[in-house]
Order: sequence, then structure tokens, then C-alpha cells
Amino acid sequence: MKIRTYIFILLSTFNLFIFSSASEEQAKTISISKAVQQIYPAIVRIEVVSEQGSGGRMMKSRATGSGVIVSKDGRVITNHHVAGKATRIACRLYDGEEIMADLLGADPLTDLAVLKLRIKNRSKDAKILTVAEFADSDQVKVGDACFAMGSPAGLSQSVTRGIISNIALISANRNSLRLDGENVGELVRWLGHDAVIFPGNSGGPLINEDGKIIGINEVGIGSLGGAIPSNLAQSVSDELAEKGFISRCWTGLECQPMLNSEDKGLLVSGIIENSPAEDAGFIPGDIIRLYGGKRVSARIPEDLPIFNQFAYSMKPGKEIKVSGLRHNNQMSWNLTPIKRESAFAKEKELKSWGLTVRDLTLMSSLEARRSSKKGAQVHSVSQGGPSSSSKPSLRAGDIITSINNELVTSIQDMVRITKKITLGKKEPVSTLVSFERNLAKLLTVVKIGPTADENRPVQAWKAWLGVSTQVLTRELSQALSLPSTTRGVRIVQVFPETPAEVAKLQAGDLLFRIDGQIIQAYRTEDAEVFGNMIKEYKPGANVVFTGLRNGKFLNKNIKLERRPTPANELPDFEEKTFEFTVRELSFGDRVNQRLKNNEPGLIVENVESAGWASIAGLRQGDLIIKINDKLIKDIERFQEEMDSLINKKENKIIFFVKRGIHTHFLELEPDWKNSI
Amino acid sequence: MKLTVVIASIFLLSSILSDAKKTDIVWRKLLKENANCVTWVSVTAKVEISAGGRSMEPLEQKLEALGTIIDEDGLTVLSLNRVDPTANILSRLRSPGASVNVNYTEVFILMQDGTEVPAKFLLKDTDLDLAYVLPDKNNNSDLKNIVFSKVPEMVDEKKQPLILDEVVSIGKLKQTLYRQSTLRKGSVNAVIQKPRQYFVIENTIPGTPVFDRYGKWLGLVVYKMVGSRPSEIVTLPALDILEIAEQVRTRQ
Repeated sequence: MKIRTYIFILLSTFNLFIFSSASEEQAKTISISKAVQQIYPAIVRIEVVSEQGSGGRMMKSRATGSGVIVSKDGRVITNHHVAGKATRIACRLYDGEEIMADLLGADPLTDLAVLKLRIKNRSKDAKILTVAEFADSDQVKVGDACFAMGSPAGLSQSVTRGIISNIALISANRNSLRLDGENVGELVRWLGHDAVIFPGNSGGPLINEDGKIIGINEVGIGSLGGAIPSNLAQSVSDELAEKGFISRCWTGLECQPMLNSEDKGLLVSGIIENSPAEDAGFIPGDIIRLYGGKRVSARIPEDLPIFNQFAYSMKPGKEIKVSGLRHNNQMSWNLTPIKRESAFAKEKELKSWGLTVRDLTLMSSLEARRSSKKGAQVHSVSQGGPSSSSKPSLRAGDIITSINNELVTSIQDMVRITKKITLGKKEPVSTLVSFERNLAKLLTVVKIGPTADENRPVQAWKAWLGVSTQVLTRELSQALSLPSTTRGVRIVQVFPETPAEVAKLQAGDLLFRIDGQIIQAYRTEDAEVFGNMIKEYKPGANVVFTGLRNGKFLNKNIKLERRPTPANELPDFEEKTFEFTVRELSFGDRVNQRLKNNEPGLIVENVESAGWASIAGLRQGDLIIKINDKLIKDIERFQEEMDSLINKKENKIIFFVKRGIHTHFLELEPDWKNSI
Repeated sequence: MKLTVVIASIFLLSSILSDAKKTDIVWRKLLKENANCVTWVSVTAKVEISAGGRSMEPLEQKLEALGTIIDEDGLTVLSLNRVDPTANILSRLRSPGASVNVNYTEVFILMQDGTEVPAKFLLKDTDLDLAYVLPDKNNNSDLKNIVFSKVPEMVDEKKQPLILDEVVSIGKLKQTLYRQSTLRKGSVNAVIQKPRQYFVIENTIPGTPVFDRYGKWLGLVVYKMVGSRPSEIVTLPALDILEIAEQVRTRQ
């Protein structure tokens, strides 16, 4: 009895425990889902078109990422690596509404970017934007629940759940995460968490159980996600929104944690030549303990970003008192930082040179071991372009210092001098260029000017019958009750409107001789024999084919024609605003797509990645049948129609296209505001 | 008896050696007088690739290939696959709807003295692996001063070489070896008659001409195209090359 009572009590207690914890859990779930729902409408799916120099050109690319709305006027925070180089930004809200956005500023050192939604373009009935609030990231503790929000892999807004795993996550390999030449790990200690994130989550918020932002998701390290703490994100985004850039200082002082983790202070690991730190008298091995009146110390690498955040925030030009030790002797230094410039300037394409070039910044000139920022640095070279063809050819890293003996101090000079040289010229002009490569001062001659016309060779004309055939192998001959010594081919397809069709050749006809010559084909490897025998003739020749049809003698005198014009010799047109190329239908297109001779349409030959046509979903191989309901019959008509639509700056252009057996309406929505 | 055999053997050997010596003299003379009928050609190809409905950013490729000058106006013929990557790219893509467009932004015939003669790539034969390049008259005022060394006359159709006959091909080394002219000896390994005539000769380089023992032009080294892809290296008879070259004139 006692035992039974005991078990019952235990069970009751257990049940009570289960009930109480379940109801607690239920309440918590309700409050969590409420918090999540509250912030969910503030998540933004971002689709960007970015430009980056490569191979002497500015190459476009498309990417998707995430962001979060942080102000009523439509300010969105995301990552620099999502939108920092964007030329077109489209944001999709939780309810599917799409709003174009502009880049207010980006900071590669913290990997943050701030966008502004074009809310003025919204309809009057549009819903009020939901704004997410920031929490104090300094209060976040390991084990706290968190939610990663965003658009993983370009999907619609999604939420995953996890806990905070680390509040000072840094990359194990120093310098492993670089953006535009900046080491992101210098300033940021991520909030590590195990909420599942994928590429596409970047820029999305990490929120706490109260539905407030504690971080901005940026990286994935193994199975852990890393988010930029909200306090840093908030301060950076405020400054970016206000000024478009982050004002920081630079000293040229490079520090590392103390070699003995018991010791206090920061170890000076290096001094950049000609820097404020060198002027102040620092040498490697010095120990800094007091910096601008604040005690500083780094026992482990995780401590460094905190010092860097503080040190970089000092006012340029204002003296900083620094004290510490040198060989156990007290030392003090007066350090006057200067304005910090970005590691690299943005590259620019110079088409007539076949180059992308950059202005030199303080850091890039120091990296090039130069004391001056004068010149234009070659960023990338187009293979086969004028600069690559010069002897010696220009290479990435070279610094152009003069053109035709005119000094080049920046890209601006280079553009100005180039315009002067090439103005009104119809042919490339030989131009003397002085440039530096390491310590050597070299001269070369680059032929700059109008781009050469592209040369497209034509295909040799060949005679053509208009059939496809298979070889009469021994096995096939036997199966068709023909002698095993049979040589020849079997017609498998007769193409429409060809000499073969006119002569009423049929699929299944067997051909043994051409003008009395045996078609020496009896093995599969003889597949080309028939075609090559035809090609021996000149177009227009009359040829006698003999063989069998349904067991009866077949004799046909056929006039061969010229092989149809290949696709690459047909009229084409490159539409430069929407960035795609179309051409007229070839014989092969009509056969493959079962199109009649008079059926209208143009074949899409090429679609530039990230152009308006590509964004609308136009694909290579599509057949454009109509534009804004008008039938497109030839290149001329297409060109006229497109020119008229571009002049009118239509907001939306509808293409009706055929893709395989399917048809689609595609909406092309150009951003006329940002187009040149 | 023994003496007769010895004398006969000596006579035979000396006649073979003297024949070989004679041929070497012919070939050395051929090289001396006609080395520059082989030339390097430099092209800058803009390659646009589309596959699976998507187009890649155009790539520019600079290629150099050996060619043979077949006329006094500088008409030069090359192995198409050495200057047109289409067939190679398509064979790697293996995508049914893939398309490769190759346009040329720059073509130069590189003369032995370092002169770069601007040229146009006018005609190609994808079945026979031939590319025809002609100096650009519109873009070159100095063209009249340039002398192109044409390939010597071709072999008489009735005097085609047989298997094991020795032949030579003229070539030119790369820039790193100062584009020095070369003479490579080989022999006819096979004569293919169908679907068209080809000679299989070892030790040859696509784009270069092959000559018989009398120094007559036998043909041009090209790739044998199988299913639109380059396969083996063969020598295409000179007559075929000249026949297609007619189209360069008629279609200009």
C-alpha cells in the first residue's frame, strides 16, 4: 500500500511538474511567437546588381541578401558584402511588395551598409513600414535564446532559432575575412550562435526573445553563425546614414596580445614606415598600457577588436597621450593620428585602354611602397585589349605616372588626357605611357582610342542535300534482308524545304550510290562518309542518287543547294539598354523548334548577367514573339520597337516568349533613374 | 660471286645515301628560300558562351597560331581549332542548347622582321579545320611594301606520296625561341582515301605546310574533325585548301 501510494504521489508530482512546465513552455512559446511576429514584417529580402572590376572591365553580378528596416523613413541595415557595391537594389517586403532602394553608405571594415527605400514611390494604400528596434548587445549572454531572420538562399523571409554560443567570436585565421582590402576582424567580435543560417541570411537581423535586434548576421563559421553586435551596427549605421561614410583615424601602429598572457598591456608588433606612429617614436616591442587616458590591454586575440574600436574612433589631428614600457622603463609618446582612408579606392573602367584603374589611397600607396599618392594604379587588364597588347604590356599593380609626358596624379587626369588624345579620332592613337613597376620606371606605347570593329569570319559554303542519315551496318543490312556486303546509308530525316524534300526523298529510303560511286559506309565510324561525299560537290550541282525504297529501285536526280546560312551569319542586334542580343531564326532553329518558315520571332542569342533582361528572366535560347503585344518579325522591327520604348522610358515592357513547348510573359522593369 | 654481292651492296648503299643526300639538299634549299611561307598569326578572340539559358560574361583570349601563306597578297591559312576555341568549349559544355560565339577584335600576321600586319579573319571551314586570314588593306598603308613569301607550288596530283615516303614540314618556333624556322622530317604513315583524302604524317604541327621529297607542297597540317570536334592530326591535300580559298575571293 505504502509503495503504491508513494508511486502515485510520485506520478502525480511528475504529472504536475509536466503540466506546470508545459504551460510555462506554452506561455513562453506564445510570447516568443508574438515577438517574432512583431519584427517579422521588418525583414527585407534584398536583390542587388553589383559591379566589380575584373579583366579590364566592370563586371556585373547579381546577389540576394537580407536586411532589416530600422526607421520609419525606410532606412535598411544590411551587410557591405551584400549591397556595398550595388548599382541597383530591389527590396521585397514580407508581404511581397517590391520597393527600389538607394545605397546611403557602406563600411567594409565592419561589413555594414545602409540603404534607403524609395518610399515616395509607394502607393497611397501601402502599409506603414514595420520598424525593428535595437537591443543592447553588451547585455547578451552565452545561452540566451536568439532568432536568425532573413532570406536564406534568396527564399522569402524565414526564421530559425538557436542560442548564443559565443559573445566574442573572431576568425581563427587573422586577415581571413577581407573586404575591399580591409580586415573585417580588426573591429568586429561577432555574436556566435547556432541558429541555422545560409548564404542569403547575410544582413538579416539576429533578434532576442523580446523581438529586438541584438546583431546583424554576417558570417558562418562551421555550424556557427556570426552576427555583428547591435551596438556596433547601430553606431555605424547612424553615421553612414548621416554622412555616407565612417570617419576613422589612422596611426600606423600595429599591436598584438602580450606574449605572456599574465602581463598587462598591448604589445607593439610593428610600425608602418612614414606613419604617425613612427613620428611618435614607437618601435616594435614597446608595451602600451595607457592610450588616450584609457587603460588598454590584450591578453588574447579576442581583446584586440575592442582596443581597435577605441583607437580608430579618435579624432584625426588631435594629439593622443600614450604611455607604457620599453625594456621595463616607463615611456610616454605623443601620437597624432591622421584621417584613415579606405584600403583601396573604387575601381573605374577605361574602355579605350582596356583597363580598370584605381586612385591610390594612403594605404594602397604604402602597400605599393610609395611615398606619394600620385598616379593611377592598374587594377585589372583586359586580355587582348590595347594595354595588354602594348610592349611591355601593362599589368595589375602598375602605377601610371604620365601619358604623352603629361603628369597623371589620379584617374581624373587619365580620363582628361585620354579624352584630349582620342577626341574625333577614328583609329587608335599610339600613346607614350610612363609607369612604375616596383622600383622600375618603364615606358610603353599603348594604342588607345575607338574600339576596333569585331571581325566575324563566314563559314565556307558547302553543297547540301537536307537529310540526316544512318549507316547501313552489316547487322542492319542483314535485318533489312540486304546482302551483308551492302554499303550505303538509310535516310532517317528529311528536312523541310530542302533539295531532298523537293525531290521527295523519304525517311526510310536506302541510298547506295552517288553518281554511280558506292557510298562506302558499313561501320558506325563511317557516319561522315555520305556527308563528305555531298560536300565534294559544288552548290548547284545535279547529282544522281540510287538506292531502294520499300524494296523497289530508287533513282533520283537532285540539284544540291548551298548549306543554309549558319546562325552566326544571320542579322543580329545587341540591345545595350536591356543588355541582350537577338538574332533572326536560322534553319536549325526552325527545324529544332518545329517552326514554319513564316512564323515570326527572334532568338535570344545572349543575355548579359544582371542586365534588365536577365533580371526579368529572359534566357538564352528564348524565342521573342511579341513585345508589348506587337509581333516581332525581324531585327529591323525589333530595333524600332525597342528604340521607341526606350525613348518613352516605359516603366514596364512585356515580352511574350516561347521556351521549348512553353510560353511566358516576362516583365522588364528598367530603373531609368539610375540608367545613364 | 662474293665479290659481286659486296660490290652490288656497296653500289646500292651509296645510291641510297646519295638519294638521301640529294633530298636533304632539296629540303635545305626549300627552307632557305621558303622559310617565311610559314608565319605566326596572333588573334584576339572575344568569346561569348551561353548554356542552360544563361550567358557568361564575354572573355577575351589572345591566341597565337602557325599559318601558311598561300598567296602573294598574304592570304594565310591556319588550323581553325588553333584560333577558334568553339569546338573545344562545346565539347566540354555537353549542354544541348549551348552556344559559343567567337568574334575577333584583333588579327595580326607576325612577320619574321617583327612587323605586325593587321589582318581580317575572313572565312572558316569547320568541317576541314581551316581558317583563312587576309591582310587588311583598309587598315594598313604600308601593305604595298610588305613582301609575303608564298608557299611553293603544289604536288602534281599524279605524283602523290606513298606510305613510308619521307616528307618535311616547315615550322617556326615560339617567341621564346625567337620564332626561328624549323624543318621537321617525317614519313607518310597512312593515306586515307575516304571519306576524303588525308595523309597521316608524324612529327607535324597544325597550320604548317608539308612538302614531298622534291620540295613540292603536299598539304597543310590540320585536325581531323569528328562530330564537330578535333581529333587526330592529319595533312589535308593542298588542292582542298586552294579550292576553299577561292571563296575568300568570291565572297569578299
